Amino acid sequence: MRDVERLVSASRPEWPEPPAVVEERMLASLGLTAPRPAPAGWLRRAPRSRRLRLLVVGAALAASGTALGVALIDRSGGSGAGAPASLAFEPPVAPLRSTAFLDGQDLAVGGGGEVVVVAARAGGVVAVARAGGTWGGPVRLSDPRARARNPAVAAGPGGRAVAVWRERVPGREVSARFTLPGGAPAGSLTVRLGTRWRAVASVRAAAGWSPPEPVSPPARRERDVRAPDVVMTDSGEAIAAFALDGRVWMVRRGATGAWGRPVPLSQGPEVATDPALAIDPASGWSLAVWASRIHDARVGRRWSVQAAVRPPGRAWEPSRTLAAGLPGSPFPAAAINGRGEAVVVWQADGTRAATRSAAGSWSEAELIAEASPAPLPGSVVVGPRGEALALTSAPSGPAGAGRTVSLLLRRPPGGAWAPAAPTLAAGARLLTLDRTGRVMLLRAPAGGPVDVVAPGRGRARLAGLGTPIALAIGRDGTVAAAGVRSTRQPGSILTVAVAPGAARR
Amino acid sequence: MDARSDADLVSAARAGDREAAAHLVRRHWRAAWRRAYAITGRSALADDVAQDAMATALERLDELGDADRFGAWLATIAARRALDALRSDGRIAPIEEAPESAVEWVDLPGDGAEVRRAVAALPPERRVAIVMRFWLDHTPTEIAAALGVPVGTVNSRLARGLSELRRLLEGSPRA
Repeated sequence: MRDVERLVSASRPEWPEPPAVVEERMLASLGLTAPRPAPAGWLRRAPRSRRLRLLVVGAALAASGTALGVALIDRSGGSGAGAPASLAFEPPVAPLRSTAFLDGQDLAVGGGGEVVVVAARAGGVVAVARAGGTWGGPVRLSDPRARARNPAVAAGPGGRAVAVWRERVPGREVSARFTLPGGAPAGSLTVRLGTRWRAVASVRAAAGWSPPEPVSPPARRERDVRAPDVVMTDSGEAIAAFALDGRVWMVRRGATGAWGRPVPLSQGPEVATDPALAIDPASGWSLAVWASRIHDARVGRRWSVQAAVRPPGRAWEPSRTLAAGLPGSPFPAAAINGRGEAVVVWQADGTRAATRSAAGSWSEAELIAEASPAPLPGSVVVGPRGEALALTSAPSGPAGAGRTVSLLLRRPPGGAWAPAAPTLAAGARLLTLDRTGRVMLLRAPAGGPVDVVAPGRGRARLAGLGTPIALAIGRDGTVAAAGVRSTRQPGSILTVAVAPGAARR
Repeated sequence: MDARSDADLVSAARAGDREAAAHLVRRHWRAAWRRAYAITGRSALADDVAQDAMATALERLDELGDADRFGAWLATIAARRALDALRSDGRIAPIEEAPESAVEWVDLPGDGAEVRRAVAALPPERRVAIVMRFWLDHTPTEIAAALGVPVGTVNSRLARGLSELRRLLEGSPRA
């Protein structure tokens, strides 16, 4: 082999591991399964601004057919005034009215039952809202030149909503023409200089959606701006998170006024990515979790899980490392209640969890479920008294059978994690909590129907939803479930089913 | 992960089994992504290419002759899509000022950053041939089949690509 060939062969790079969120997005766009509850995907593992978790009340350990009302969450505390989640679902509709390759989508329900959906398709972010029982038309939020993607949305009081996404800021186009020595034209070259990437936001008020406004400084490369997340309190305060140049940042916007300066949350040399936010909308307690990676020359890439908490009206506390030295991306999910009690779960050779007390101390990480062959997206909720429920996966059948089942795990206040409600857990995909402390589960067993279950109260079948990817509940009990359906055309159709709150029916 | 063979998963997916299709995606998407990344040099493009290639493969499952060769077939689709993406995206390239390169694998760990920089500077067709030959370990025949061009064309691109690399690396005036 000649020298230059040997040089080229020897310069083969260490190929990076592709981000797992690509798989989630790919499966969702193909209409094959629900994406993971990751910051860049549908399922926000953290309680979003209106996505309160419902803990399953009334697990049916139903040998006798009698449903036993096992209170998995003590509802006596309540997380704030609000109505129970509705089960009066209307048939699913396709609010975007077209088939498309979706590059990120999100769903939120506002305080008055408004449903807001955002999606990225063909390089643009669009929003569509349902108010008063009627869906409006899609509204384009991003600049058509901006190659926008990975949107997130939060909804609050009075029809207010905030959408965030990342987009490209095209630089200036520079052209040069070249000529041969004899003067004949040889061709031209056009390049674009100064292209940047950034996280931006648009705010929805009575007058409609505002023009996009940057919430992050610009980054030189697309990969340096990771998918943003956003949550909102009952008073309309919005908090957005994004990863920029290897650090996680937070930026806050009051109910009125402008976005503040971004505040860095992550520390150290690790590359922080994919922040996810959790909030108790009534109190304003907020929690951010993210994964960080670092390259160790001896063992290669290693991951850690980090978290930071913001008490209401105060600054973010210093971030904490909950786990380190993990061999794979951990996909953390988190929840927090109105007393600052929080739970974070992640994947590291099984499902692991750490809890935060009201006093602010974090527990050591513990294994709560064994590793399964095909880990399912994890999610967690925390009730008003600190009890927690996690939805994860577990291996099933003989060793090597390669089967995975959904698993619900409950942790009473000050207690230990233990499996709960196996009958309800079967096929469970999404877990959430309403303002009254009631649990709601979305189940989609393989080959089976899609059901929304409110244990102890009933269930609703969502025929035509497709593969479920999101579940959100508003303060007034309005529930929205989103799914994707594949079609003959390339792409998929986004579907949404809404159960209006009691006041709207 | 599902223990069924690719052939079984393809048969099931053809019959409408969405779980089987999902398992095919989970099993093969990373390889398609890495191929797309190696060819385009950009993770964002690789995301799009891998997704597009997988969608195409699942749409055209009936065209796959040997069901056991789903992975290789997907790789072919990914390579062609990646080259298309490179061509269409290369006209307006976000060229930044030094020292950053628009091709991400220039800065990856490992020796030979200067060589990688030179490879990144090649025209798309030659760069793809060089990457597939020396970094993805394909024969010229395999590259020709993947890209849908004659073997002679591949050999020509390899020869010219290597010649240009020699010039870039040695400072020789020869093209």
